[in-house]
Amino acid sequence: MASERTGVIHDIGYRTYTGPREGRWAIVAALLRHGALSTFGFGRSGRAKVLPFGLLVVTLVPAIVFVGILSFIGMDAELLNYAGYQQVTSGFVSLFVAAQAPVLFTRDLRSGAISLYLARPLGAATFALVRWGSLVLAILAFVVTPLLVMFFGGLGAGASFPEEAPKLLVALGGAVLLAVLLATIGATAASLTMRRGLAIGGTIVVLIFGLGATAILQEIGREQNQEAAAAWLSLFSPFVLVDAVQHGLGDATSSFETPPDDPATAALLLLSALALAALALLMLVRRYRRRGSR
Amino acid sequence: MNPTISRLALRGLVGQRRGLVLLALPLVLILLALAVRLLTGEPISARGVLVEVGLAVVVPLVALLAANGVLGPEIDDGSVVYLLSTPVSRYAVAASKWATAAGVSVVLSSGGLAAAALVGGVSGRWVLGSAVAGAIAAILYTALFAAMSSATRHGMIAGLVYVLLIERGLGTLLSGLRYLSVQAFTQRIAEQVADIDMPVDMGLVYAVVAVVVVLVGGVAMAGWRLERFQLRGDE
Repeated sequence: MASERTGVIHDIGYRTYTGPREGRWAIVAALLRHGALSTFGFGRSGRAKVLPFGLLVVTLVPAIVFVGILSFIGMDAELLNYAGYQQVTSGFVSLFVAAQAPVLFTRDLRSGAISLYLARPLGAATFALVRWGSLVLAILAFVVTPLLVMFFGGLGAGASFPEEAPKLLVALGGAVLLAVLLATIGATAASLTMRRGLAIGGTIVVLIFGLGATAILQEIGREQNQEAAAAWLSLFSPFVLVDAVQHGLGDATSSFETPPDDPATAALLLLSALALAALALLMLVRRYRRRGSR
Repeated sequence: MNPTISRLALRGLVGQRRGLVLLALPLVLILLALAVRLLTGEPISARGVLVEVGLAVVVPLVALLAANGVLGPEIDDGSVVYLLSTPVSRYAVAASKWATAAGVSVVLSSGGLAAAALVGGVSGRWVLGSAVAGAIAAILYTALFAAMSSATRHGMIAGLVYVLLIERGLGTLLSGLRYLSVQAFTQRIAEQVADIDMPVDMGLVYAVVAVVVVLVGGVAMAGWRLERFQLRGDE
């Protein structure tokens, strides 16, 4: 073999990145934004936008009808029941959560691409929580839009601001709680089943069946004069729980049979629900850890 | 009909603990009936628990999960092409898969409803009647949902929209929708077969014809869609 070396290293102009490097928070913010937007179908095909926006439009219909009645017939502003709105449209909200949670939680877990994401600086726990956060934001946008339409429409139709604002604030607090609980249920179902169909089915079963069964059992509880015990049944359904908390802590009109009457019970209910949600999130993080380490 | 395809579909449906999701619904119905009976100390109202919850929610959801479980995942991840490249008629594929879904949901629906009726302590006529109604509904719903899940990737959502919005939501406002409601056909036939009271105002002939149309049409539609199956990317 000839000892004379004839090879040359050509400089073909590769350059390293010299621009600003964003930190951990920029990654989190970008992931959060991307997740929340893709839940509504932004950045995906047109067909992916049909379902979320279709559901949003249907959810807005009662709000528009209320505002219309208020401005044309001019009934009293009692019609604008912000706190009870999510209970009216619970079917659509459940469909939205069930259909859109798998967008964020099944595909990368199932295909194994998740281990590539988790090898990046963010890590499993943050990734899972950020995904959950973007689902919370998307659901929040979904449930708050009709409330705002009703509020500003009502103001335009002559409702008084000082009377409506506190009611809206209570309902907004309820909407945040509802978004947190629904996102937790959706994320748990989607990440456990890892199949879109099963995830949708599981979420719907928990949300719609839970709502129906809770309503039946609470009605029986009231008939048997066990209101205090029946109030605790609201832990089975996020919609009933939010209603109970809004009634107990915010003095909103309840849509169900046995809302808790004293603020202490409502506060305890709120704390227990948040504890359950935290437990579910812990499981979610563990799930991501395990799938990511494969 | 192809027994191998049916057997594989059954394994995909109930294997690896996936059957637990399906089993959960009838179990919860039975527990609900039991809870209602223990709390009130009287027999449950057949109308409230068995029809409004059982027949109207549990049975369609079980059928939806089963029908989507045999077709949906394969179409979703594209592995259905290996099945379709076999020299088996697509109609036979659809019929075999539907048979599995229908069999599983008949067992779960009619068993679940009958057991709920038993622990609820209603009359023997209702136990029989709810078993019959559960079986009829399961067969019809799986045929309908098999067609839906072969027609679109969002078969699950389409089925839910049909059950929750059209049958339950709008159906209570616009009574004319009963002529499009599988629920109404089932109740009319079950009323006739098992001699129980169902409040459906519909000609028996129409109900029978509609049942046949849904059953044959649904399975045929699924086969027809599989025959024209196109490979597509994920969105």
